[in-house]
Formats: sequence, C-alpha cells, structure tokens
Amino acid sequence: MSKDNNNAKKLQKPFGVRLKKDLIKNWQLWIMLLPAIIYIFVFCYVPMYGVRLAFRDYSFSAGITGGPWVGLKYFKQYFESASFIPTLRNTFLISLTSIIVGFPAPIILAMIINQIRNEKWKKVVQTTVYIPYFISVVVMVSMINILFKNDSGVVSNFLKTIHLVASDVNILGKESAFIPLYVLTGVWQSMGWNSIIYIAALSSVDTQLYDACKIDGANRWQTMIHIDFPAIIPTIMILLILNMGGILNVGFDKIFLMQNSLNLGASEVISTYVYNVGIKSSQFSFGSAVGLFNTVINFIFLIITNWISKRITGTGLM
Amino acid sequence: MSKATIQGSGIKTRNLSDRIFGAAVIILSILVFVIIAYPLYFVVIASISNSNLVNIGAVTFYPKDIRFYGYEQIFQDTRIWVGYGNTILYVVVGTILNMVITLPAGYALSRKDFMARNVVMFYFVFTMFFNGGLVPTYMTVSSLGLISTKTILIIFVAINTYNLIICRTFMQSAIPEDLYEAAILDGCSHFKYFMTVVMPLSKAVISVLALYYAVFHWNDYFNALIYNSKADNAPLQIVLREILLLNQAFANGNGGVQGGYGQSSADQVKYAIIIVSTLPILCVYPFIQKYFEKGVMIGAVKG
Amino acid sequence: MKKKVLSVLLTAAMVASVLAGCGSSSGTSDTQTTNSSESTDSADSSESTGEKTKLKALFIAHPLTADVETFQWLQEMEDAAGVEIEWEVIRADWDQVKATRFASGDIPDILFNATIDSDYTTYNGLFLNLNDYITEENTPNICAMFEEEPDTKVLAQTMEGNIYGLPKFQGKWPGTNTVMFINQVWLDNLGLEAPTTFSELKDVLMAFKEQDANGNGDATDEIPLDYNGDYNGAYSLFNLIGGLGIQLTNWGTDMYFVEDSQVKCYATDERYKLFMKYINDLYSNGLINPDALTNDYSTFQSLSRGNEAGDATVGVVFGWEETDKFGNDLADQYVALPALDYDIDCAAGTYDTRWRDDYSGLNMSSNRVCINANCSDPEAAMRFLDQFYDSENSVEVLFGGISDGNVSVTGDNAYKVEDPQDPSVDAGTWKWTYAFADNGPMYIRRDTEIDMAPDMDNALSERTVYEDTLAKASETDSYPQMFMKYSEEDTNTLALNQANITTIINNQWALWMTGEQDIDSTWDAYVESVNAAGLQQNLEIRQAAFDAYLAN
Repeated sequence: MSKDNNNAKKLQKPFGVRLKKDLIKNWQLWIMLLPAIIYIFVFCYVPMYGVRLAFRDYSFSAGITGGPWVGLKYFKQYFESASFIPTLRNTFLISLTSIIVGFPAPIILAMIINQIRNEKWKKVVQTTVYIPYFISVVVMVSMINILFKNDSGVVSNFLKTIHLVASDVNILGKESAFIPLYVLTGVWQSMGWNSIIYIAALSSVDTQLYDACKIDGANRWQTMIHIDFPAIIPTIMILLILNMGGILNVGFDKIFLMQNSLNLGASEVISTYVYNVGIKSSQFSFGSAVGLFNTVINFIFLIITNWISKRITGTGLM
Repeated sequence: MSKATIQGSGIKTRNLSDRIFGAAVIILSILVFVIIAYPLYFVVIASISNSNLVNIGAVTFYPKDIRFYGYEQIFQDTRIWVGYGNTILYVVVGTILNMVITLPAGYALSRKDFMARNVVMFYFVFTMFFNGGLVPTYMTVSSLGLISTKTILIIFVAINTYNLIICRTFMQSAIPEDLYEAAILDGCSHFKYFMTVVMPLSKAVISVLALYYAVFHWNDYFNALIYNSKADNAPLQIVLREILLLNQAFANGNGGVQGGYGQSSADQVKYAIIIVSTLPILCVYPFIQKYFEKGVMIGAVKG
Repeated sequence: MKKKVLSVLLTAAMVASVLAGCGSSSGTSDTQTTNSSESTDSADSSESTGEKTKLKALFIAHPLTADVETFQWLQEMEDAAGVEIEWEVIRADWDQVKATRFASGDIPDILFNATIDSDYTTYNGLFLNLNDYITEENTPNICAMFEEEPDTKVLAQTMEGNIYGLPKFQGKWPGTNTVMFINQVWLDNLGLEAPTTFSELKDVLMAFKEQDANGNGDATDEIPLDYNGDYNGAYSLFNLIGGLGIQLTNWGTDMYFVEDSQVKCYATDERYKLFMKYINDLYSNGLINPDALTNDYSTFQSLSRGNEAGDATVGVVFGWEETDKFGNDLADQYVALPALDYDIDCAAGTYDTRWRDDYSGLNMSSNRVCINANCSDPEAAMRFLDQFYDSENSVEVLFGGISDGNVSVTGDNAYKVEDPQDPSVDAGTWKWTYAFADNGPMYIRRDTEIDMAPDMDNALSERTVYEDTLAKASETDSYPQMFMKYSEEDTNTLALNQANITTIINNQWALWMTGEQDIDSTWDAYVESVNAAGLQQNLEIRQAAFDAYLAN
C-alpha cells in the first residue's frame, strides 16, 4: 500500500527530486550505465551543435555553424526542387518494399533453420546463409550485372525459361524491374545475417514448453506457431520499430551503382540526388537540411510504430 | 481402452502432418541453400577466371582460363599483413570494450523497477537519429587528440544503440522475472545478479552482439578513412580498397590516363578481395553458433 | 556479503578496464603531441640556422603511386629549393575525406591535386592567395607559363583575379579524347567501303548484323555498334552528334555547347530530335548493342576484346587507343573512322560536320597544387613549387626521374621515355607508379621534344583523321567549361538545377532510343519539363560567364 502511495507521489515531484531518489535507490544500475552515457555524451551530444548548419549558410572563416542565419532557405530549396516529389516517392517505394519483403524473410528463415532436425545439415545451412552479408556493394552490383545480363546471365535466363519474366525483357534496363531487383538482391544478401538474432532468440525458448506441447498432442507446425513464434515477438517488434525508423535511409552506394539511363525514373532517390547536387559544389547546408528532413520523417515513423506496437503487443522501445 | 485408441490415432495423424512438415522444411532449406550458394560459388570461380570471359558472361558453372593474378596482386602487397594485424587488434580489443559497455547498460535498461529507464532510453535513441554531422564529430575527436591513433579506431562506436536495444530486449523478455525476485530475497545486489544469473543466461545474445560488433570492426572502412591517415594504422579494408582501386580499369573519360594493362585479369582482384577479407571472419562463426543450441539456457540455470 | 563484495569488485574491474582503455588512449595521444611539438621545434631551429625549411605536404595520388619518398627526382627538387618535405599521401576516396579535413582546418602547408575551384569560395580563408608570391625572381618558371600559355593564367584566376590553385600545361596530348573505330577486317570480308555518312554507316552496320562478318561460321555473334552507356561518358553515342554541326568541347559535359557565341543545350535543340530519330532507327533495326545501356565500363571494355575463341565481336565502337580498347591481339583489325556527315532526308554537307575538341581539357587543368593560408613559409613553398614548372623537371613530373632511369636526355630540350624497368608492366602503369604523372603540376613547353611510349604514338597517329574537322572549331563555337568562373551563389544555383535537368535528359534519351516512348509525341512535353527544371536559368548564368571569358 504505502509503496503505491509513494509511486503516486513521486510522479508529482519535480524531475530533479525524482532523479535524486532514483540515484539513491538504483545507484548500482546508474554505475552500470555510466560508461555508455559518458561515451554517448562525448561522441554524440558534444558534436550535436552541428545540426544548426541546416539553418545557416556555411562559412569557413566563421566556424562550422557560425555562418549567417538563413532559416528555412535550404529546406525551401529542397521542397521547391523539381526532383523533390519524384525522389521522395522513389525512396519511400523502395524502402517500403524492402521492409514488406525483407523484414519477414529472416524470421521465416530462422524458423526453417530452427526446425531442421539433421544437425549437420542445419549447421551447413546456417553457416552458408549469412556469408552474402560480407560481399561488398561493388562486387554485389557487378554480380547482378553479370548474372542478370540480358542474353547471357544465368539467373535472367533461368527466370525466362520458367516464364517468370517475359523473354524480351532486359531486367537490368526495365524501370518496373528496378525495385524488385534491388529489393530481392538486398533480401538475398541480408536475410541470413538478419536471421541470426532470431535464431538466438529461438534458442532461449524454454524446452519445458515443448514437452508440455507434445503431451497436449500438438504437431510440429502447431508447436512452431504457438510456442516458437510468440517467444520471438518482442524481438520482432523491436526490430520492426527500428526498421520503420530508417524508412528514408535508402543506402547510396548500391542504388548509385545500379542506376542507368533506363531505370532512372525509379532509381533516383534522395541520397543520389543530394550527391548529384553536391558533386558540383560543396553544398554543406543543403545536404544538412535534406539530412535533417530525412531524420525528422524517420523519427516520426519510429514514434508512430512504437506507439502502435506498445498498444498491440505491449513491446516498445520507450 | 478408448482413451488409448484416441491417443493412438492422434499420434498417427500427428506423425503424418509432422512428416509433411519435416519434408517441407527440408525442401525449403535446400531451396534457400541453392539460391544463396550459387552466387557465392560464382564469386569463387570469378576470382580465378579470365575477367574478360567473366564480364561477357561466359563463366557460369566452372572457371575458365584459370589464373591467379587477383590473389598474387593482393598477397604480393606487403601492406596486407599490417592490415590484417591492425584489423585483428581493432576487432579483439574493440569488441571486448563494446561488450563491457553494452552488457551492463543493457541490463540496467531492462530492469522494470529502474524508473529512469525510458528517459535514458530516449537519451540513447535520440542519437540514432540526430547527430551533428561528420565535421563536428571530427573536431571533437581532434580536440581529444585522437586523430590518426589506433585508439580512436578501437573506441569509436564503443556502444551501438541498436545493439544496446537488442541486448535490453533480450534480457527483458528471455530471463524469467521470478529469478530476480528470488535473488532479491537472498539479498543479492544488481552487480551480483548481473554477473551470476544474467550473464550465464544471456550466452545467446552475448554471442550475437559479439558477432555484430566484431563484424562491424572487421568491415569498418569509413571511420578508418575519416579518422586515420597514417599507413601504420590502416586496417585491412583500407589496404584492400587501395589494391582494388589500383587494379580497376581506369574510369572512362580521361584519355590521358589509360594504361592497357592486364584487363583480362584486373577484375579478378575485386572477387579475390571478397574471399581474402571474408574467410578469416567466417572462421569465428562456428564458435559462436554453439551458443544458439536449444537448452543452453535451461542447462545454465540448473547448473 | 562476501559475494556482494566480489560482485562489486568485478563490476568495478569492468569499469576500470574501460578507463584503462581511455588511459592508454591518452598515452598515445601524448606521445603524438610531443612528436609534433618536437618537429615544429626543429623546424624553428633549422630556420634560424639557415638550413632547409621543413614543410608538410599532402598528395592525392593515383592508387598505383609508389612511396614518394623513394622518388629521386622529387628529392632533387626539394634540395634545389632548400626545403624538406614531410609527405602525406592519400590514394583512395579523397572526396569523402576532403570536406571533413577542410572544414576542420586540418591541412598541411602544401596540397597537391586536392582542391577544386569551388573549394576556394566554400572554405574562404583556408588557402593562400598566391598572387603576391608569383614573381619573376621567386617563381620564374610559373611566370613563364603564364606568359607563354596565357590560357593557363585565365584558368588559374578566380572571378576576382586571385590565384589559389596552380594549373598545369602538358601540350603533348591530342586534340580529341575519342576515336571512332571500325573493324577493317570485317569491311574487307564483306567487300565494303568505310562509311562516310550516317546512311552509309547504317548500311554497313546492317551488313555486319546480317552476315558473318568475323567469318567464324556464326552470323549472329556480331555486335554492329557498341558504346559506353554512361551519360556524359567519353565513349557514348553522343560523339556522333557532331555530324549535325554541333561542336562539342572537352567531353561536352551535360550537353552544353556554343554556337555563334551563344551557349546552348543540344538536348533541347531540333537537331537532337533528328539525331535521336536516327539512333532509334538504328536501335530498332538491331544495329546497336541493346545491353550497352546497362553494361558497366569493365564489360564495355571486355566486349571489344573478343570472345572465348578470340574472334572480334564488335564492328564499330568508341575508344581511346587501339591496344587499350581491343587488346594486343585484335588491335590490328581496327582503324579510325573519320567524322561522319549527316545525310538523312538531306544532302551530305547540309550541316557543317564537327568532331569533339578536347585539346584544352586533355592538356590543361587547374588546381594541381595550392598552399595553406597558415603556411609558415610561403616563399619557400613557392620556391619548391616553381621547381615543378622547370622545363626539364616538368618532363620528370610527368614521366619519371632522369636519375631514376625512367627518362633519358637525348639532346638539347629533347627527352626519351624509357621502357618500363619491369618488362611485365606497361608504360602507362609505370608512369603512374613512379611519377606524379597527370596529377602533378608541370609546364611541358611546346618546343620540348619527347619520345613517348608506343601507346601514345598510336593515340596521336589514329587521330590524324580528325585533324581537319577539329580545325573548324573557332573561339565563338568552342565551350571549354573549365575556364568559366561563377560566383558562389551561381555555382549553387547551377548545381541544384543541373541535378534536376540531368535526371530528365539522361532518362529520356534512353527511352527514345529503345522506342519505349515516341519522339514526336513526347518532344514538346520533354522540352517543357527540362525548361521547368531550370535550364533557361542555367543558360543565362553560363552565357554571362562565357561572355566574360570571351572578353578576357
């Protein structure tokens, strides 16, 4: 009883007082957090003043953020640019497709690997699937160019033989094929790596639950759905929230290398646009403004997903 | 009697559906394996075939016109050994530092009775999105006198918020709360509970985080590029990048800089680099894999 | 209780190890600072005793470049100028590092090959204005270059007349970057003449496609016309547009050109419409390699080097030099094709045929070297830099040292580039390894005789077929963009607009070529959208800069 009262009172007290109380009660936890807090402060919060650059002209002599205040000038430049809508749309489309296709893939893969009974085969699969993660973007794109090449590519020929792709289509040069190609090769590359965390989470399922399930007469499919899946839901939700928080972060390198004259309509994204503007002039402030815009959108997505997730599953970041 | 029959038929249908399920698992895993393995195999054969033939799509299932120019180029460069040495240093020391900082922090944030947890969490999450940019960060590092030192390449990104969140989520969801309550009754402190109960129960997540951090250090190219300009400190990825550039066909458009050298082998380097830079880190995985076995956790509790 | 103490100790140990990490770090940085303070100390003392001036220099080198400390010729220049240079060499990805280094002011005294024009306005105050340091007695060679090749001075000066970066002049390079090659063996096999006009080219390509031109029994493996799909690339199809009287200059970047002193963009010109129709016609007849658009540069190069059996598979293609493009085995099959006249629905000669003129782009470039505004001894630095522009030294900068055995003196003002000392390496690679090569500051006098490597001889002799066409380019229809000066505001406007314009043009030409969109029905909307993206504004800014350049 008295504890409850205490809690209620605590909420009303000013932050400083509450912090002090918490420090006294949980000083051990604070010590455990201290190195992380200090590190983040020095390397992330100290340089944070740089954010102001988005609202200022860059001036070398006045220091990085000492230039004249221009308010939303660079934001306006971006919003009024002819490329604003197309690049934003393309970025969203690519990113959303990546999440819809790419997010469930490692979960399913982890489930499959988890169900393999033959230990040797399990190890073989598990060690193979995560290797693509180590292939650099440059080689990745070279491989895409060779394997999907119009007349001689092994994969494109295979897709055409099984009539998944019409025989007169050049996959590499088709605007409508760009997003599937980009997303699926991305899934290929990261699926195994991303499944590691789920495999680890699955390994911590209490084996007593399996025994209980067996006694209830559940088959393997049912066990998987009712025991394994719920066990990794917190991990799934947290990663989904984090993924949604990166909705506008479409990496530059791969897109840039995969761009060609034919697919530009689908492949010109925010990051390549900023590069194209910046390559001809050192556009510090413009880049900062676009970056800040991305960040804010990302952050909003994170907050919304977090809120929904907390509502539905009870799991959330904060 | 009747009960036994029902159970018997139940087992039968269960056996049948389990068999179908088992077959589906095998088929799917073989499918995934082939899709993943073929391009990997392609990297290997491309690294020893005539690059012209690779580029025109003539190399598909076995290497053609075998040559080892790519590997020769990489291993005749003495810088590569310095690079390996530095990278191993950064990976080992860096990862240990990461774990020492991340695990206790993850534990503290996983405690539901830690009132400031949401505020502190926000403190971390905020930095995932908002940062001052490269230049102010560089100036901060510079003011600490860490530019072009081995130290900065070890301590930079000493804690990754993403990994911290994974750590916290795991400790929060996979470690039964009653263990803590029992420990508290025994008069156990957070420190002791963390060391004797949480750590042994978190082997799976510890190995995942160690892998994540180690691979991050192993692959880290950008930070080494920005914060270091001393050849003595250059990690493997920087060295490999230079070897790659040196063998790339000169970009078009600048006629004065052509060298018609080894086009038929030059592109081998980019495939060989994948193998040279990936093999060592691949060897780490089997050691980590064993902590993903089922029952590790329960065994630990009982032990 | 005991256990509690133990766990506290353990945690403390973990924290301590973190601190230890920091401790060792500060240790390293300590030694760092003492080192640097030592070096500045010694620099001071050496100055006072009249010894060599110590300076730090940064060189953004080609990845092939060997350790510059081992270059004899460089050491000789340092000695001659009485300086001692501590070198920092960056071989990869300078563009990514540059902004950070410049914005934080962390730069050495001298910077080779590290800057572009806009850096001097963006980082205003970081670099030294060299105007006052370029004098007859201190920098005679640089003065000679500015006097004898006045273009170099125009190139070096900013709008306000300041000089931050020093240019180079290496007058031995050809007048155009690109040669159009045709397979002479194929022509002979089929009994054809080399084409001289657009329609003849189509007929020849048709024959290449339909017949077994390479004589290997397979009539389908011939690629009649190949090109590099990179928009703005040197080996793109746009090389042909000279046939419609459009004079391109220095790679014709972003499709700008000048006609009667008017800056224009040919991508919205009616002649471009005709050109694209012709290209679309070739493409729909299967005469242009359909994969070229998506092939990367490596594949583009590989295709011209034959198939597995060593048969040539490409009929007509653009390239720099025959051995570079086709490899030693196939190089003999190809010859340079002169500029073609446009004759579709009109007589040949209706348009004044041109070929791209790249002389200034290949022989001059700005910003080879600049100096930190906080340089401790600018006079000494300039003395050192002037060495690079000495008549003999310039040859060494480009091809390698005389005392290194890479260049020999064959007479008064005459030199010979020696064969690489390692026979397995070609001359191009050798020069990039042991000299600053094209990245360095230099002034090769026009009257200096240099006996160069065979690939350069090839490159020069192949281009004789373009000499007459190139000679037509006059001052009022050349547009060497490198000489144009813009204010910071204009640079930003140009960059923002150009990013939008390029996306449209780059996408549209491919859609037209492949026939995905009809040229006639989409032309007006296309021109409108390019104008809406800011083309007119860019043309105005460019016109003003061009007028100022002509007046100069």
